[in-house]
Amino acid sequence: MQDAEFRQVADILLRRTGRRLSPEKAYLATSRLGPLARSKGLGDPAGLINALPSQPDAHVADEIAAALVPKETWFFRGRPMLERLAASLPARIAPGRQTLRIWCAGAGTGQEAFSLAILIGALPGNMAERVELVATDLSLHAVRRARAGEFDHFDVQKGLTATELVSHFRPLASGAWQASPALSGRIQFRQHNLLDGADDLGTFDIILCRNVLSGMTRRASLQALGTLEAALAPGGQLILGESETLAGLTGRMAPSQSLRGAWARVSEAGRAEGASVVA
Amino acid sequence: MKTCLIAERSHAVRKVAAGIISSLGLAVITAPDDADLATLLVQTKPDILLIDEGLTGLESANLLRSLRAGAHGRAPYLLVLTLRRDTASLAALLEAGADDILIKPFDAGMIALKLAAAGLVPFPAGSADEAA
Repeated sequence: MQDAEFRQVADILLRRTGRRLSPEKAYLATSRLGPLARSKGLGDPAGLINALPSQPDAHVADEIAAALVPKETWFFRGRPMLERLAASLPARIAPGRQTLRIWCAGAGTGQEAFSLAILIGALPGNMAERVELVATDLSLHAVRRARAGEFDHFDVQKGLTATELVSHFRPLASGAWQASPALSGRIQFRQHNLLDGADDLGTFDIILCRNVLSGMTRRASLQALGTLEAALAPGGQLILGESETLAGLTGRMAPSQSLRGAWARVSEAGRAEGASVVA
Repeated sequence: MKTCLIAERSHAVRKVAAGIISSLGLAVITAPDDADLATLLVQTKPDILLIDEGLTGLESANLLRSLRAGAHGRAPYLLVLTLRRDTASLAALLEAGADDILIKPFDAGMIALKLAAAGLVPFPAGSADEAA
């Protein structure tokens, strides 16, 4: 890959994900764009970049950017936080209240959303029917894989216990495993870029955006945070990765008093859980 | 320090599993080929038993049941290694008393997450940002 091609890749990555790619990491552009280039019949990464118009449309740019973003994840990543969140839901879905909406932002191939769907499905009564789970990722490729609910031998054993595996997935002849229709049916997967605002997604009572902001430049993380804050319903909570913080990024959010590990608007941070869903 | 007893026929698999489990901060005991598992369990009282389901052939379910019933002292956490991947066989192993199942081939991440889910080792920290 030539310098000019590398600069174009780095520019797309910065514009669409707010992440920088230093020239020493040029090898990543070559290794990670290879499969995308081949899938488009363009040979190699240089061919892919050279085939781009000067202003590639957002979907193409997002697909290139997505290929460069680290995607290491697993089922039930941060299991204690997910279990605390699920345990907090019954008190929030009081009778007569509206549906509770949850957004997994930067959901990749869906492990976090499927994990939450498993926990939500185990809630008593018909509560699962009153939770709407939306999962988004900038990669349309990842979104399609998540919709198919297929995971390979290694992915499916990272984080899922055997009990969870046999209860919610079935083995395919290919060696992969597929989520049950009941589980997949609880999640809406959509392509979405956090840097584009989220007006068409509506508002959410809980937003999980874990290990996304920390890889961004300050400017981009503020922009993405703006998207998340705008999509947060009154009394809503934002959940970041375990090692992430909003301290130093915004004074508008503070650690939630009702859900350990979550963030809430400063004006609401001390509110009780039950008050968070507005009838 | 928690202890894990590994009962697996293949030397290669035993070695790999032992390396992974000791890297998680557990003491590892590997059962020799000709060891009597029942005696070894009583002697070593492991917190975890990683056991090859093929080790005892069709008797594995019975062995799991007897372990679960405390026939050889306090039952350890039973992590069963298997090549089977059909739902019925896996469900039968769970029914017989396996706490969790590791379907071969396995890697370090799977073992770490399974033991963490059982509260036996800390959850792995989010991996450092690798790129970009």
